[in-house]
Amino acid sequence: MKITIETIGKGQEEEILIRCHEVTDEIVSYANSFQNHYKELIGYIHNEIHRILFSDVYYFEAVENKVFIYCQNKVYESKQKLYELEQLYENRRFFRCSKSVILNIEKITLVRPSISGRFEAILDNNEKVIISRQYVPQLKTKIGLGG
Amino acid sequence: MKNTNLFRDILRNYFIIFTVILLVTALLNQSHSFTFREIILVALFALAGDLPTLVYYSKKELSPRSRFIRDVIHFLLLETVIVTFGNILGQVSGVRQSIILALEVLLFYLLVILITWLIDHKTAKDINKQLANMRAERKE
Repeated sequence: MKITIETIGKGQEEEILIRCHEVTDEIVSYANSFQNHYKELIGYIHNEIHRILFSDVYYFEAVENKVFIYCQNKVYESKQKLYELEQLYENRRFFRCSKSVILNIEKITLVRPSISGRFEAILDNNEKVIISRQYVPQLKTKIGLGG
Repeated sequence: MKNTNLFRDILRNYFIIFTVILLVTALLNQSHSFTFREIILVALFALAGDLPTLVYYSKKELSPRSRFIRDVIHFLLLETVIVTFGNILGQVSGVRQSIILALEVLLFYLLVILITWLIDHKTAKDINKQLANMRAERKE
């Protein structure tokens, strides 16, 4: 397949155009992947409003009725509930790894077991996040390893 | 653990413990016929051995420290239940035999932790391999 990248002027809207003989599942998957990559969330730091790409999010965490969005080195507050975010990320590379945390699979460097019977995910920014063992099948399914 | 999962596991484990004790006893001693009292004792033992799992009940996610404390409490409760029922059922008697049984339980407990860790280690290895593949695909 030929790939063409064209640089356009600042005034024009950026666009991804896929030209194909047939719209296959693979093509739809690529299109969804691009769409998801550029979707944004709203996060707050004090009274400042920030637009955050889903792909920049490391994890979401609920702490005492508040939901926080953790990026590489910044933490934003979200006005959405964890279950609402759960619906938003349904088709993305996110999964619930414990009662209070939703984790971006693409930010996991490695996973290791702990003696406590749970798993620990080491993220790209060296943060550690606990994965409860009952959520491991969900992770395996998301990455294509089956339950 | 989600509390609905916890209660489901407690119920499931209760029937597993009850069935396994009856089956193993029947297989090892085929001429033995269970009395009503024995069946009730086994049912009580299964319940007593299963209920310590309730120490993991929590509305919040357990911190590693909290999890560790509950693991210790769970183990101590399990030891107490097994040694007590061992004495009631006449499997052990006296302090010396009770201590030996308690040590055997400790050994099995550690063995279960080790086996679980080895299985988890293999799971983590599979996950890491797949994560590495996905990373390589993204870079392409």
